[in-house]
Amino acid sequence: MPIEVKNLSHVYAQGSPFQSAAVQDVSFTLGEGELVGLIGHTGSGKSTLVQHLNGLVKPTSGTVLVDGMDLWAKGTDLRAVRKKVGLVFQYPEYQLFEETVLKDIAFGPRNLGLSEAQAQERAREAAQAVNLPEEVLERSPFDLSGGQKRRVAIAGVLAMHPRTLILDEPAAGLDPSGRREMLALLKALHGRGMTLVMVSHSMTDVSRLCKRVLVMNQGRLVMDGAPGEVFGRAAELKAMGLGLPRGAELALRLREAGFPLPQGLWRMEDVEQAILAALKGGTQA
Amino acid sequence: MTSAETIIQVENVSFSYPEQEEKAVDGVSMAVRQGEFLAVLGHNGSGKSTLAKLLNALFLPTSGQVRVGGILTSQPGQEWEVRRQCGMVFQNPDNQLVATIVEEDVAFGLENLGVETQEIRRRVDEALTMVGMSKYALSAPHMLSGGQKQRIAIAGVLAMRPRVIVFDEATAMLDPVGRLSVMEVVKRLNREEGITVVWITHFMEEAAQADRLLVMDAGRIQMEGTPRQVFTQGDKVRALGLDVPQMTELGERLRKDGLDLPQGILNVEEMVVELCRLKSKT
Amino acid sequence: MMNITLGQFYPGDSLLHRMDPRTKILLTVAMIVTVFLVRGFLGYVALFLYIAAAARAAKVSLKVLAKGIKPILFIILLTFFLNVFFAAGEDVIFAWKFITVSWTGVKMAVYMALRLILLVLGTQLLTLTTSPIALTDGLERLFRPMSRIGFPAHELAMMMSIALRFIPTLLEEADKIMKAQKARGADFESGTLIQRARAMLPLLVPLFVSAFRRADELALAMEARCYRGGEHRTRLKVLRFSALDGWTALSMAALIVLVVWLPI
Repeated sequence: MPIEVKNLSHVYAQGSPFQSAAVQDVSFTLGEGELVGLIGHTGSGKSTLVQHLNGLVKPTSGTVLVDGMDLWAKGTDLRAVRKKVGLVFQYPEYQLFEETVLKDIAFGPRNLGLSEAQAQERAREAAQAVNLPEEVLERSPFDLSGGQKRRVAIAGVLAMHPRTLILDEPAAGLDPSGRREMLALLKALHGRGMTLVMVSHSMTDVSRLCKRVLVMNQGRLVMDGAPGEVFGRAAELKAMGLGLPRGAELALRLREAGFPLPQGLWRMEDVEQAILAALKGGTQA
Repeated sequence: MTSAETIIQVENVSFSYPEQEEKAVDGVSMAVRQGEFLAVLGHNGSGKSTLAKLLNALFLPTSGQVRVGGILTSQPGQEWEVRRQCGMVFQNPDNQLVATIVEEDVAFGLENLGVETQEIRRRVDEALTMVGMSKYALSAPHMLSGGQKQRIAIAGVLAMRPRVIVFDEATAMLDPVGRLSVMEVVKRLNREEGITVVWITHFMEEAAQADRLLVMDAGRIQMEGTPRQVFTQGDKVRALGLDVPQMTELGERLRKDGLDLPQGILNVEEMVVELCRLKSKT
Repeated sequence: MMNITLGQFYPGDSLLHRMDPRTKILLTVAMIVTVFLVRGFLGYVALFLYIAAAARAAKVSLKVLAKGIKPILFIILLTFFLNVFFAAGEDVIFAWKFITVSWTGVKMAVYMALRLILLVLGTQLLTLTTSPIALTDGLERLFRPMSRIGFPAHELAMMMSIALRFIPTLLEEADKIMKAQKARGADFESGTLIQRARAMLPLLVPLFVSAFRRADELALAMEARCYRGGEHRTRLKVLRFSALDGWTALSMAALIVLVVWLPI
């Protein structure tokens, strides 16, 4: 198991009048090669939770194991952990700082103690993985478009060669084609065997991509299952201010209107087929 | 929509940023009518934000003319009246609030206009009520959520009693709940207070709620019409780097599958109604 | 991170909180001047009693007030001992090589320490009961007459208030960037001083870039809301002197007369 989280809790400003629990008693495991969506409303604790997964934040109680190694046991080298678990923050383009794109991407590998040549080699490879054109590598990252900057930032984490990659709202602020490209990129990375966690409040994006969905609400992990299972609990999701992917919402409304559609539909193609079956055949239950 | 009074008139306007050859806005002509909800749609870099800033004299056209309420934006000394009549809400909630206390931020524009203290007080309270943020009057902006900050920004513009408000991707950085709350406030202001809205966005589902739609690409207006008219031309919209609302797309596919659905279904409600109609016929 | 309080303002609704910031600033200045004009030991006692009474009126405990002395305790002690050992006087208590301790010196040392302590306590009362924004407001209005001779009172106040508005935002951002660079293996904690200074670059560059971007956008947003400097500007909150301010000023005047002119 790449990542195991056991009874994790995190309390902000403990002991002060501002004390608040950001994460409460969360447990889950992340299997090799999984593609997981982590959904929650702003302030649900999802961002705090993922910052525990590579040891950026220390849990108030509970443990996090990466490849069986307890992050906060004595003698654990957190930098070795950060090499295994990459974390891409929201709007990561705001963290770029080097003179050239290549140097910025090579920052991670350099920190791992690689030689300049090796670091650059890795940077080139990572730039290729995120489809950055060769000619931008020597340009200043500040001169690129928003979508390209974000790719540079993601490449900066990929160059560390993590086996697990966590992305916080990777598509935030992108326009429809940027969004589509980002989802395609994540799919490609997953196809190369990487374990992926996508943190998002976009039901649509998560439903398009993920095989497993975790839902956080008020610091707690309240759902963990296949998309069909999770999106079937529409009333609960709405109460958390989350809404449904359009496909699931349509299926729900049609069922309420007396259409004989099966439970657990969310993919637009499946809904389409079910509608056709219901209207033409009328025999499906 | 009946032909109402034109409130913003853009005539053959071009604009280029200094040291850039390409024009960000290239020969655009358009009009905003009193009371309408106009959405301007386009991918990043299509020129839609530049167009927005030309509407209230933040940018002045390199060539062509913009008139707001009959006033030429490029006329020296008139920019303040133009900006009072045509307010603007920006994308980043953090970077448009000036004061450390909500009510002082809402008052900022009025203070600049030299409105009397008692009148400021009255208008600030009124504006905060209109956006449903009265109980946060004394809060610090950095303690509010993104959606709440945007509502404060709207109140700050509202207090100046504008005729038009331009929203420059005002929901792009918000979560779904914040996005919905801002959209609701704006729709209500448009409906009940008669405020004309220019809504710049790349979210299709938001654009689908407008009265009228302009689609921009490469600094030019490429499509114009009601959301239904525009989104019916799915291939053209996609060629401009955009999407059509998911329900419109599903409608297209179901029509190809042989269902007798009308063109240009925009949302789940319409889809349910149409499918129920079909079902009752079988 | 979200709840940092700026300065040391204690929100509250005491007599001192309700006073006009201008009164409080002026009275603090008066207090500072008076501290150096006090004639005798009883004068210091009177000043201490006055501050204690004011603290009572501000609902600030003396313990909180005394906390402010801690950071400058070293300076107070240093001045005290310098005066004890090196101040010249006729009435020598004992002398050894270049050190002479005289009664005059001891007296001077005690007075000096008392003055410093009074200065801290007085200004503390001001900052504990006046929010940074009220302080800025008060200063702007006090300095407004000077804008006729070109002193940028409004501009300074506007800068100050924007800084206050953005400090929490930038702190939060700094925290996020720091974590993001740590996620890329950055090390901010170990190494020599020079290494650590260089390690700050990945934090400082993005932070400055972002601050400039914010400044740009804010300037545009301010222009869109018709901002054009301090002229003809009105305010939502107008500062008004009340009877409370009058009475407090009178009490301060009485105190000054007491400690400066009465030979006690």
